[in-house]
Parts: sequence; C-alpha cells; structure tokens
Amino acid sequence: MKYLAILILSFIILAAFTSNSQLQLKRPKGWPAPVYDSRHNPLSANKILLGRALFHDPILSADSTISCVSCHLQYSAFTHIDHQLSHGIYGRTGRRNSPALMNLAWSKLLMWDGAVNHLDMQPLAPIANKDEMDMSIDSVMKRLQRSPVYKRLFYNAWGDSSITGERFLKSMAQFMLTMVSSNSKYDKVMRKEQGIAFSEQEERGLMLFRRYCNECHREPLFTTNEFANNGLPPDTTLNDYGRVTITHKAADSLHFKIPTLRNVEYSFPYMHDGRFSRLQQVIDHYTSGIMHSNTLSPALNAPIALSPENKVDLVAFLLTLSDKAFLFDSTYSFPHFVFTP
Amino acid sequence: MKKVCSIIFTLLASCFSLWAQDTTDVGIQLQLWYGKASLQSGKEYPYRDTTVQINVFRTYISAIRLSNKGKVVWHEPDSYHLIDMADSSSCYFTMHVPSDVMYDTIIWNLGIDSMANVSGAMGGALDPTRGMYWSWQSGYINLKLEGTSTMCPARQHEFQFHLGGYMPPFASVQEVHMSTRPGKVINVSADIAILLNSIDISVQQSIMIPGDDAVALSCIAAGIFSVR
Ligand code: HEC
Ligand code: HEC
Repeated sequence: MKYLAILILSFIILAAFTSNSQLQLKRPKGWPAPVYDSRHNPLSANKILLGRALFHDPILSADSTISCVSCHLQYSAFTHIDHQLSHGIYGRTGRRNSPALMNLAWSKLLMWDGAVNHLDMQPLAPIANKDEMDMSIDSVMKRLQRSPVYKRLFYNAWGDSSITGERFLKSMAQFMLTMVSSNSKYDKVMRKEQGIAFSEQEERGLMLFRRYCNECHREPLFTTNEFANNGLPPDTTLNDYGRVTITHKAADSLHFKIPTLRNVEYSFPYMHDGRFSRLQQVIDHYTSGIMHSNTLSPALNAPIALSPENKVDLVAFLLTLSDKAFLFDSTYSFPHFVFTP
Repeated sequence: MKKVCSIIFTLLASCFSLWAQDTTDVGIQLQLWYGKASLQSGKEYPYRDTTVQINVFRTYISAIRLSNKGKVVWHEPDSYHLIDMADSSSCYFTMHVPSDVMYDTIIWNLGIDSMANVSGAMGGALDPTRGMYWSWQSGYINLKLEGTSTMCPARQHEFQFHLGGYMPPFASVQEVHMSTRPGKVINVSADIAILLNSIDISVQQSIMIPGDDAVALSCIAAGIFSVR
C-alpha cells in the first residue's frame, strides 16, 4: 500500500512537471472507436519519436542488418513489395507475406493468424524469429542500454534513462499507432470535399464492391479485422492453415486475417503467401478460383459473376483507396536528426 | 500548480500514515525442494532409476488473497511475483496486510490471469524481457522447468517444460489453496519432485506450447505447494 501511495505521488509530481504533453490518438471522422486503449499508454511526441527511431534501426537484429523497415517499407504502405514471402536475416525466407501496416489502432489481433493479441507485443515476434531478426529481447535491451543515443531518447520520452521492455514496446506501439491512412480519394469523396468526386467508373466499382466485398473488407477501414476463409486453395509447400494453429478449433481452418484494402495499389503481392501479384488476379480468384470447403465463408458460397467491364470498374474503385499523403508523410521516415546530434 | 501539488501531497501523506498504522508486514518465504533435499542448480537428484539435474525453475505467483471461513477477506493489489530458483531474493517478499484481518487460508494463482495476458506491455515482474513471455504467440509462460537427465533421449539429455496458455480450452492458470494462520511469515514449500515424477521424461521431454499437455501438467504443478 505504501508503495502504491509513493507511486501515485511521484506520478502526480511527474505529470505536473514534465513538458511531455499528451497527444490524442487520431480518429478520423466517421470511424469506429479504436480498439487500442491508449489510457494504458498515453501518447507523447517524444515516445513516438523513440518508437520511430527503433522502427528504422537495424540495432534490433542479431547482425545489425535488418530493421522493421526492411520488411515494412513506407512507400509500399509498410510492406515488403515484390517478395511473396518476407526476406529476413542471413538471406533467410520467412513463411508468410509481410502485411501492409496502417490503422493498427483498430486491429484487435495481429498477424495473418492472430497469433499476437496486442500491438504492444508485436515487435517481440519478428525480433525473436530466427528467420527475421534472430535476437533475444533481453540482448536488444542490453544493446540499447549501451547506446548513448537511446539513453537520451528514453530519457526524453520517459523522464529517466532506464531502458525496460515495457517502455521499449510501448514506444514502438505509439509510433505504429500514428500510421493512420485516411486521406485517399475515397475518404475525400466521403467527406464531401470540394471539387472531388468519383468518376462514373469508380462509382460503378463502389457499387460492386459494396455488393460483393464489403461484408469482409468493410468500410471505412476496409476490413472487419476478423478472420475468414476466402477460398484460397492451400499452398502444398507451405501447409499453412492459418488461425487454427492458434485456436486449435477445426472451424478456424484456413481462416486468415482479413487485410485492409487501403493502399492495395501499392501493397502487392497479395494474400498471406503473396501468391498474386496483380489485382486482376485477385478478382479472378473471387470470380472463378474459390475452393469450396466446410470452412469457406458463407459470404462466398454463391458464385460472384463479374463481366470483364465489371472487373475493370472494381479495380478502378480499389485504386481510389490509395493515400499518397500517407505513403510520403515525412513524419514516418527515418529520423536522421536523432542519430546525428 | 505548486499549490495543488502540496495540497495533494499533504492529503496523500495523511492517507499514508493512516495505512501505515493499519497494516502489518506479512512475509512469504518460499522454499524450493526436491523431495527432502533443498533445490539447487547443478545438483543431482534421484529420478526413477536414474538422476536428474534441474537448471531452471521459474514460476509466476499472482493474485494472492487471504480468506477466512471460505470468504476472501483481503487481496494483494497488483499481485505479480516471479519466483526464480536462480535468485533467492525472489523467494521472499512481503505483503502489507491490514492488522485486523483474520484468515485461515492463503490462496494464489499459479501463473498469469487472462486479463493481464491481453492487456499489452507491462512492467516489473510482468516485463516481457524477464524471459517468461512467448514471442511467436502472445502469452505469458506461467512456469518453466528445465534440466537434464541421463534418462532423457533428447539432445544432450535436456528436458524443457514451458507451461502457459490463457485461451480456453487451454487456459493453464491454476488456483492454489493452503491453510495457514496469521503470523509474521508464511513458510511455503514447493516440491519440484512431485512435478517431475508425474512426467516420464524418457517419453516426453518437452512442452513448449499451450494445449492439453500444458494444462494437465499445470494442474499437477498447483499441487507442489504446501504451508509448513
Ligand atoms: C523479415 C521480415 C520482417 C521484419 C524484419 C519485421 N516484420 Fe513485421 N511482419 C512480417 C511478416 C511476414 C508478418 C506477418 C507474419 C504472420 O502473419 O505470421 C508481419 C506482421 C507484422 C504486423 C502485423 C500486422 C497486422 O495487421 O496483423 C506488425 C504490426 C508488424 N509486422 C510490425 C513489425 C515491427 C514493429 C517490426 C520491427 C520490430 C517488424 N514488423 C519486423 C515481416 C517482418
Ligand atoms: C469472406 C470474406 C471476404 C470477402 C467477401 C472478400 N474478401 Fe478479400 N480477403 C479476405 C481474406 C480473408 C483475405 C486474406 C486471405 C489470405 O491471405 O489467406 C482477403 C484478401 C484480399 C486481397 C489481398 C490484400 C492483401 O493485401 O494481400 C484483396 C485485394 C481482396 N481480398 C479483395 C477483395 C475483393 C475485391 C472482394 C470482392 C470481390 C473481396 N476481397 C471479398 C476475405 C474476403
């Protein structure tokens, strides 16, 4: 009890005197409330900056060659373009396609199979994975503790230079929470911004989208953040059955996380194993490639019939989800200035 | 600002002295045993017809409560303790119990509740750098038991049991009930031999994921504790 009182007391004093003023999680108009509860991790500019430095820094990998950015590049909506399966340390290949990262504050579970249950905990997975960064989390802490740059960044962010796992993870989460994409043409049309409207083709594409795709890739996030089997036949070299490996429930076999379709123009290749490189192939999958099985989502039971014109319209709509302001937002880029004092 | 602070300070300070008068420190002393011998790393102990060495024994004790005649009368706030055979200071801690509380039973959880498992990064005993958190799939490891035995056919005769999992049906956290009496120190013994003897390590050398095996062994682990 005494300790609690001392803790509360020091917290109040700290809160009163630090200049590290609190920021709000960004919530675009009309969007649902974020899932991430920032009350347990109040945002501040210095914590976000620390997270940003860590996100770009290969110090997190065993041989200091791989950073988060190696697989999550900003210009491709924070995914690894061209590689079907992610490439990590020592030239090793992972077992899945790296997903595009955005709007993570609305994601309950992370990873294609939902193995990670909280954004805070996400960095632990790639760091320890022997094909990705191959480093134990306590050796990462030891490295950071030896670095004058990080001593300073932790000090600025947390009020003292003690470097703990909790602080490390919360800072990384804060940076990732700032990756909000909400300035695509679609958003501007929905916000009724002046002078911006869908073309007739895009309009037709939107109607098709709402009819066939919206149940899973639901507006405005373009995902329900749930898991579903969208009828992909399993790749027999990978034998990846998705969510069932985590829940052990047969009904979850071949269920994968429904990815957002925002910035889908840039996030190729597509699907958990990167099997498709073009949107046209994805649409063809939905019209003629669905594998029926007892875990197939009911939403895809009835065949989807699209004419060649329909397909072109649908793709035209998907391209309105591109958000250049997000891809080129300099607040996500490598923070040179913290490394060169 | 300063004024507000000083008011809050006096307020808290007075609460403080109130609490201070009202509570007694009750120590929990854990003693780790292998049968009748005290548990030490690197020492050989009898196991079936052969011997074992225990190199790692670490476990979480959480949500400590005191109860009287079947009713919980007190629970320790923020109650998470990591017990580690390699760190004797982790085997003793004090709780600040209100002096007038009467109790006949101490209860705790062996492992981490599901709420703490899904609440993001935490510090202290729960800091994920403490070596008790899985990386490939979120969740705390409630108990680690590692060692070697000549009976163990695995590489270098090593066995490794990492028990955890918080999602039903494989939630492995266990409740431990022990009768006790109010006093300055509650001495609790944990006999690792009970746990190890329940496993045939010539057949099973490792558990590293949540599942039926982890749940079954966790139930047995809950039975290794007793108040002396
Ligand atoms: C070697 C490539 C690689 C590196 C390095 C890497 N990732 Fe990933 N990332 C992936 C892959 C692949 C997945 C999907 C894995 C899966 O589903 O099993 C993923 C998934 C994620 C997700 C989940 C996204 C979602 O919507 O579910 C987040 C968040 C993430 N990574 C953040 C990070 C951070 C932070 C780092 C640095 C600490 C990092 N990644 C380093 C390849 C990588
Ligand atoms: C039953 C739910 C469901 C419906 C309906 C659905 N999808 Fe999907 N979609 C998914 C799932 C699940 C995935 C990921 C599957 C995987 O990787 O195994 C996905 C993946 C995608 C991807 C790949 C995105 C990426 O970044 O890898 C695109 C593009 C896509 N869907 C477009 C569409 C379009 C267009 C429609 C409508 C014709 C549609 N989807 C209908 C569930 C659905």
